[in-house]
Amino acid sequence: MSMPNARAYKKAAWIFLVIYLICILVPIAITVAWAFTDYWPWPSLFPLGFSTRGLAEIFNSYSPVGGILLQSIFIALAVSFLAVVIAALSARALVHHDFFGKELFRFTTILPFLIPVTVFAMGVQVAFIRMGLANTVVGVIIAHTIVALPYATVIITDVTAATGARLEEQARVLGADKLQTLAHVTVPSLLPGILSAASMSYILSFSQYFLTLLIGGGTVKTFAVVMFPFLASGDRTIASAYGLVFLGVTFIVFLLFESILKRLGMREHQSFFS
Amino acid sequence: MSLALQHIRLDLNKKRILDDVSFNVGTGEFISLLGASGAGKSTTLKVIAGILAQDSGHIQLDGEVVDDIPAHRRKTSIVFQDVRLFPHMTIEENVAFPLKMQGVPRSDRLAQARKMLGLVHLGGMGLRRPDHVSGGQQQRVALARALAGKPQVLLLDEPFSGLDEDLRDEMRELVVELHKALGTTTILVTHDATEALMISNRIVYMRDGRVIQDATPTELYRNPKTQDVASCFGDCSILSANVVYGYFCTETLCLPATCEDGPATAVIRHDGVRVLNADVSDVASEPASFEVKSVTYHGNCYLVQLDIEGQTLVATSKTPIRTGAHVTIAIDQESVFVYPAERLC
Repeated sequence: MSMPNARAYKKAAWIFLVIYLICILVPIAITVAWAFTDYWPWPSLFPLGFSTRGLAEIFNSYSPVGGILLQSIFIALAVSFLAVVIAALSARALVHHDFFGKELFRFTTILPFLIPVTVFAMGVQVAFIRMGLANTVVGVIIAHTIVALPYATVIITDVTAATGARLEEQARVLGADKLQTLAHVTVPSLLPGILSAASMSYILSFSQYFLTLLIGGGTVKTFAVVMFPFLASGDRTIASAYGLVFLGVTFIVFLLFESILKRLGMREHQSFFS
Repeated sequence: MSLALQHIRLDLNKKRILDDVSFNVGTGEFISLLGASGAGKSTTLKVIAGILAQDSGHIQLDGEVVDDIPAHRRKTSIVFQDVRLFPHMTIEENVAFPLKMQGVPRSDRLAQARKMLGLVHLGGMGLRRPDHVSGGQQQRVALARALAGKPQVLLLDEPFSGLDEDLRDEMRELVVELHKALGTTTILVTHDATEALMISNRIVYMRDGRVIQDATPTELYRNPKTQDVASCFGDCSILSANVVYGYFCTETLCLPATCEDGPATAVIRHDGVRVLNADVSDVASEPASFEVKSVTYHGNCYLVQLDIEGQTLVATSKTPIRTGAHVTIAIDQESVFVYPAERLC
């Protein structure tokens, strides 16, 4: 009775796995194919003609894409840093402290979820123009941080609540002062959540188009901003080449995050800051 | 190091948790804080360690008031019931943690940690992760870690209660052994009265945030001050009746009482009540015979539940007795404790 059942489950699991892989791998494969394709007319199943025009456009064009790429990475890293620091502090307040208006504060941390980016971008733009932050990198970083914060806060709040104050109490009675407790116990135990939140914030910032265009006013160029016209104009070779670079860069940054996690002692013998 | 608590009072969320708690612990002494859950025992430990600040009263270590000294500089250490090993460190790094905080160089502190692990019989396990050893071993690591920083006062917050019977005995022996070897002043929080009797020099019984009795194990067992102290050792019957002219009397049972006349409660230990004659007669002819409601086998004796006008008195018997039989009993004076009935409010 149980054997055929188990077999059926296994089969179902395989089918889901294959569908999942198709959904992820096929679009990537098509992007890769398009990035090196010169010509791929309709009924033909495979591209006709190999070309490096796309990559050449990105790296040899008049607009220096390398600088833009670095600027995008810098903005995204700054956003993840800011979002994580603010989220970690908010999470601590929400989990470990009682204060007047706590529930309201909890609600405001997820408020940006509820307002469409297009709507709130207008408000932010008006405010930033007044403050002189419009068309600046700092302005873009702040605007992206607003979008990333709710995600980071939700993730880190969950981890903070799960970790609790138990280990901190223990560290204190074992002779750790507040700073030592933070460095040796609090941060390491929150690290998985911190890195998830950082990755999330990074990708939100790195792929942000509309908000960057509005706040940056075209002066602050990011990779997504430069890439978008090619997607819209329909030059698939160049658009796909951009897509490929986007994918590669994100992948490298995430690998970096992962290796930081390992280096900082979550999975290895070395302890944090020792 | 000697420790003194003076009139400690603490409210949390507008609820009084500790109410005028005072007691002393001499240098090298091993005392138990005994009481039901919610009595304020663990909170008392946290106040001693400085994790919680009392609202009033003072903590003294060696005669010096330490109220303003923060937790990390108090030279007190807690082993918590839920172990609390640091998951991102190996076992020896966990044990070396207090030394690391004191600035001991890495190789020295790891060497000391290994020595401590040897003391708790975990030599050679230092490089494992906390979640790769058993619950009993984790608790021993926590003990080694607490002792590694050479605390002047060791505070144990029910460190045995998460363990099963065998491990609990083993751990208890280890704690006694370490106390003998290191002589660290120790306070053990427990709700297990027998455990407290077994290992401490003195027992402080707490209830509702107050110290009810502070006595040696013998004194606490022989002269329990209140009904709950008397009954905390388990294996006892509790009867309600009135005390009249110095006797605690039900219709069929009369016991001498020291408390004043009025409604009262008697705590009678099982082993102080023996069945004398079984099956006197099936009709309750003699005034001092009681009907057997049920009998359970207890290994070294039979526990016989007797009917006392609807209440139950448990007696022991070396021989099996038939349910429904009538028996006469003998009661030891020193196993009976009579207290004025507590008013329920």
